[in-house]
Amino acid sequence: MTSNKEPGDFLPLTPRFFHLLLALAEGPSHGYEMMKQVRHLSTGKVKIGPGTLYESIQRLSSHGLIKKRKARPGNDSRRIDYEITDLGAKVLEAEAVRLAELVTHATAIGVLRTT
Amino acid sequence: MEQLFRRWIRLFYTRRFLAEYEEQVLRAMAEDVGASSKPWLVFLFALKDAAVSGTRTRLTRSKHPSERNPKNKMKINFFPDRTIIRRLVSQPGHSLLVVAVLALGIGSTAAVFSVFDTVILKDPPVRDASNLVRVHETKGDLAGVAAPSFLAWSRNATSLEGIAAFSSAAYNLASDNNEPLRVQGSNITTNLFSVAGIEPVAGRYFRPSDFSSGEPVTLVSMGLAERLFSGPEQAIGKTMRLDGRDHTIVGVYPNELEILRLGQLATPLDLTGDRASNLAMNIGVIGRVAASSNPESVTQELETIGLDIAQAFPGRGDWSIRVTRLHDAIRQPFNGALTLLLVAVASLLLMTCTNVAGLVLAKGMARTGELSIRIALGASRGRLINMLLLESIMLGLVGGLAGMVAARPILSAILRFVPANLPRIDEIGIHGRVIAFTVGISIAAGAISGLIPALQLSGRSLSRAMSGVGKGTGAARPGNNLPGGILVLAQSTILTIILVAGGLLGKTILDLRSNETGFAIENRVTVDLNFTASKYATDRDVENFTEELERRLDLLPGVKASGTTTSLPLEGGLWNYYYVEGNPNPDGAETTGGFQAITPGYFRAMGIPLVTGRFFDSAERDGTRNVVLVSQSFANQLLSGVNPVGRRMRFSENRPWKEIIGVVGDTPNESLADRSWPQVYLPSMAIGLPWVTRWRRLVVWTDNETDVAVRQIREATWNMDPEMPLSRMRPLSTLVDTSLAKENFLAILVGAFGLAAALLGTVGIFGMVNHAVRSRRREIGIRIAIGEAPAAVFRHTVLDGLKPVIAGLGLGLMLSWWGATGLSVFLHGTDPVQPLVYGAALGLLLIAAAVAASGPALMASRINPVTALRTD
Repeated sequence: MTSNKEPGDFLPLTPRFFHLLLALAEGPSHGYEMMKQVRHLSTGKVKIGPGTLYESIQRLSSHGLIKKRKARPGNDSRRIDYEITDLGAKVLEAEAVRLAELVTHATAIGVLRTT
Repeated sequence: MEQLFRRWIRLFYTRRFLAEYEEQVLRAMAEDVGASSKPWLVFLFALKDAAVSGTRTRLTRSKHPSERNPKNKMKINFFPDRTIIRRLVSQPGHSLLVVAVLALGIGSTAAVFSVFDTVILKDPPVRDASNLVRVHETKGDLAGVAAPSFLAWSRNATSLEGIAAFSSAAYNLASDNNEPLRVQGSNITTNLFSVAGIEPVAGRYFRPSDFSSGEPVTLVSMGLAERLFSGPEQAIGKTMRLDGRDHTIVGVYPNELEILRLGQLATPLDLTGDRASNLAMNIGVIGRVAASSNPESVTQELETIGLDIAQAFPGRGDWSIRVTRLHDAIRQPFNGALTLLLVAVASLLLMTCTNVAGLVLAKGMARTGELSIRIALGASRGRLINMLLLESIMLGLVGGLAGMVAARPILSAILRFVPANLPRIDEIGIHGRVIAFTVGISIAAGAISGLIPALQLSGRSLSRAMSGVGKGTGAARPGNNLPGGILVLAQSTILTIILVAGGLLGKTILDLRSNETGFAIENRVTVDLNFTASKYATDRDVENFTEELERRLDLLPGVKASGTTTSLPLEGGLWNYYYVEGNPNPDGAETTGGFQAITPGYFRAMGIPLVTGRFFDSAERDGTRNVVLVSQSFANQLLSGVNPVGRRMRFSENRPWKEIIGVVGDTPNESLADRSWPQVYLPSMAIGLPWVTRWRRLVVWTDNETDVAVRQIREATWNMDPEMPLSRMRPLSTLVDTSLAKENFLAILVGAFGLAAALLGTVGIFGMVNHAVRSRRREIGIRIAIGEAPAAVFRHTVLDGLKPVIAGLGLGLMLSWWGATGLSVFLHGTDPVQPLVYGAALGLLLIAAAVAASGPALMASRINPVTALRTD
């Protein structure tokens, strides 16, 4: 099912979905790798178990933000890789911009001291 | 570990999720565990994680990735989304039919509930209604209060904070331009309204000084103040001429105490002098229970005080005290009838629900295509049930709205049939509580209507649903019609019960009506004559007037006889103790019976037969010769069938003996079912109770039409006394109608609900068979193609349709049989086991069902196998 929604419609993303999309932004990946990546990116703050991982994958795919990648020849055929879609990339970018704007604002009002 | 995890996730995830992700989840888990230094911890985390996310996927549909709060996902969406409304609007015929059927059921229920709520549930509109009690002295069936008891209680009772008395009275109200008016009112003690806690609308209530001043004063009701003086304030200080004396209006009372039937005006109740020792049980008493007490201790205290009264008035016999909460005293006589009515209308509503369920189910089968697409696209069963239930609740609410509109006309139709003595009629209406109730039953009706279809339609497996897509046929197998069959069974059961109940009530009325009334009803007109003390000072004056009036009436063309009495049959007249001379049972003091004073023409005018002996002659009018007539029951009960003519009887030990000169036929005392109450008839001047003899019922036997007779009576009366008010002029037959008012009310309404239910049931059976035929078109087509005769198809289809009806009939008859004893209070001796009534209900239902089934069955027998198979 593809959604004809604008990237902005998905904002703000939950940390879980943001980290998953971020993990896939570095390139196609499979389940366990994504779990590890999310843990690494969030320094262990966002902890995803196998069940939640695939529940999230199901949701992200159903909204067309990620998709299955064709199996690479010679690779383990049981392993399924996922990659980010164009819509997913746009949503990720929009969320990053939104967060960046918040950071800029936080800096401007002195919440965040950069020096 | 892997096997354990596999089993674990299968517990939580949907099959659809597992089909796609099971292996991957397992793999990710295994790799994670393998890479960890604390594998058990990771494994436990994976177990918890799977349980949580698996449950979450079951409970929510595929939601937006931005969904933040998992709690939101548990909520059921009570506001219908546009698709539901769009679908309801897109099938206007179906929706309208469902709404109309629901409106009928909900509207009737709301209307009956509004009556039930006001009469039974709602507290009377007085301060602290729960502390307000009615007090009665009782002996056997008799109840009332005598003045000495009331006076003793008000002097001595401490368990009552306040105690007040009232008695009904009627006044001749002189008016300037119109005919003289007879106004129903009451005498009340000065504190009546303050005990009830009701403030006057204008002016004040009575003061003790109102008795001593000698200046006649009166209170008037809000209604009378508005009718006569255009408002309560304007009425204060005005005078009214009551019974020939000018009375000053000092106050106006609100309608709240109409529950005590105070009538249009009230004058002070004088319990001094002779009245203080009058043993007639003719006053009503209310009391307010003191904060430290309760009705039980009030009863005890009043009974203790009563012992002194019994000593002061020997021969009065033993009376016990009954203290009832005012609310209970008001509602008690109608509790049973209204509960029965509510049950009947609730059954009708249940019928409505099952009917709507049938309609929704049939319609839903046609929606198999849509539903299977939803299933294919991942809609869970819960979600489908949610959607289907929401649809029917929406329909229920719309039906409830329409029902609220329908409730008003239904209520006014009901109010047309309610017995005139139903309390608080003016308060009945579609008010806040009724509206809240209606909203409640609308939602319930919607949910009940939608539940079976929702469970049935959502439970269809994906593959079967898919195989049906586009064909518009759902139930390919006969077994699939089971829910429809259950609905018809339920309907038939309820319908049988309503029909039997209605039949039994109708039979009761027929029985009561066919009872020998003991008096003639046809061609009789009756009217009340009210003699004022100021104009007719003595019994002689009253008697002279009636004698002359009867003489003049008898000479008029068409008039066959005329006479007067102090109380008519079915009015429940006066009663007293009887002693019969030489009675084998000397304990005669305990024998009670009615008595009335009559003029010689009365029996002929009423058509009451003489059994033996003779009637009064005109020489006996003045009552100086101590003679009486007695009823057949009197002779049977007090003289065990011995010919009473020539025997003597008296009312109490110090009264003179009276010779029985004849026996007349029995007449009913209070209800048509009760004709064995002994009666004694006295010549009108022999009774010696002016307050009784000044209120006469004139009966005229005439060949003329009622309106002609009415004109004749008016002219004759007003020629003699233009100020004589003539009240309650009516044909004698209305007496019978009035006495059957409650029974008629029940029978008419239960009958009406029964008919509505029968109509609904027929539609329901039709719908079920029709649906069965449509969904089995192909099968029937094949059967015809391989040689089954159309007549056989017809027979099978009708019989298939009748099966659940017959099961329902059996169940309904058993339940009616079992429940009919509960009805017996309404049946007045009619045997609740009436084979005729049961048979009629059975026959009616079977015929209706057969007719309903034969339409679709005919269609089935005419199925053309070629088209049936091609279109499938």
